[in-house]
Amino acid sequence: MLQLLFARPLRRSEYVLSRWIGIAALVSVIIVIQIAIGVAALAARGATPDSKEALMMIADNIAFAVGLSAVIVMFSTFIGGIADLGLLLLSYLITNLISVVGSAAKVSALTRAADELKTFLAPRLDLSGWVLDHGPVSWLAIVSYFSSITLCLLIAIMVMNRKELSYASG
Amino acid sequence: MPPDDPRAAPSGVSPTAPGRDRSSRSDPMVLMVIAVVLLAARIALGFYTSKHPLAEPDRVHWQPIVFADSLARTERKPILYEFSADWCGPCQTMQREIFSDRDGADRIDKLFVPVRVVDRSREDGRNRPEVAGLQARFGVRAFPTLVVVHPDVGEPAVFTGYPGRDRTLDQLTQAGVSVMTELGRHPPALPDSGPIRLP
Repeated sequence: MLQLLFARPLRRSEYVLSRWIGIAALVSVIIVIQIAIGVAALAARGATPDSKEALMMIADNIAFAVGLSAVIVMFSTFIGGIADLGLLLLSYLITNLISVVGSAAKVSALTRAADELKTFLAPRLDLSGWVLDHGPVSWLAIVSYFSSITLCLLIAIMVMNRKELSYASG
Repeated sequence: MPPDDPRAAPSGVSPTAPGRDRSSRSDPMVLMVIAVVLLAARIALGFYTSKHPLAEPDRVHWQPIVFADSLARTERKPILYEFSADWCGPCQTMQREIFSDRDGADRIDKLFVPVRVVDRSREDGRNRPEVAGLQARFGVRAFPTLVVVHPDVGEPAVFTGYPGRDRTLDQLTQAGVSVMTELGRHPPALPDSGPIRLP
């Protein structure tokens, strides 16, 4: 597939970015449908959720989907097939292990490292500070979110650019 | 372009615009710059935030001391006096876990006429007369102290110290509901206090 795709004058970076946008868009549509069904089910029972909170939930989940798609695209450039998901799960496992060890041994550096890894591997954008007045806006959280995405995409493109793809393989 | 130039466009394919890198493997310089800038900003903000943590907003609608009695009679709600001081550590924990928490603050606002009474004797040498008067009236000796009282209903309920969010909210709710019942008022629907949501 890749061999055929790259026979056309297409930059590998464009391929990676298109893949990310495609995955993120697909997951976002699924999320919107899921939440719409949930809201409709609640409305049918007479419990209409607050529209602001429903929109907030959609925005939160879409932001998470966009971030996680970038992480998955990065892992998929390391390893083929569904092994990328395995790699993602393994990285979550290692991150949690570091967190547990850090908490048990009371080593703040380990706990902090685990937190940073979590932010990188599962980028979340909390917009509630703005939308629902849940507290002050954390610029660190916002910058971390976009930093994680750009880093993942950059790594993915760099890896893809350095891959040798044989037309005879696959 | 000479025919043996390997960059020559094949027939039927328009040549790439001048100046554009034709390599399909070119590294995205713009993305690289953005990623580096964001990473630098992330590190800088991380250091800054560790030194200057975000201040939590106070979500309780505190009322002035002078209006407390009249508001309590008008709204038929007990007054919650919160005696605290700026230097008091447990007061800050309570502030973060209850008064800055949406559900905690909502519960306080629904049940009480909340009044904050801040001790300034350590900073200013003495307290304002209304603060000193309330401290003397309820025998406040330590911070935080929470007092649930109504001008027309019996004895005040006094809670000294901060035993944690859930226990404090339970104590306050019981005291508030008890006063409301004595006033012949139905207690309001309260939000589920739920688990502690720390920022």
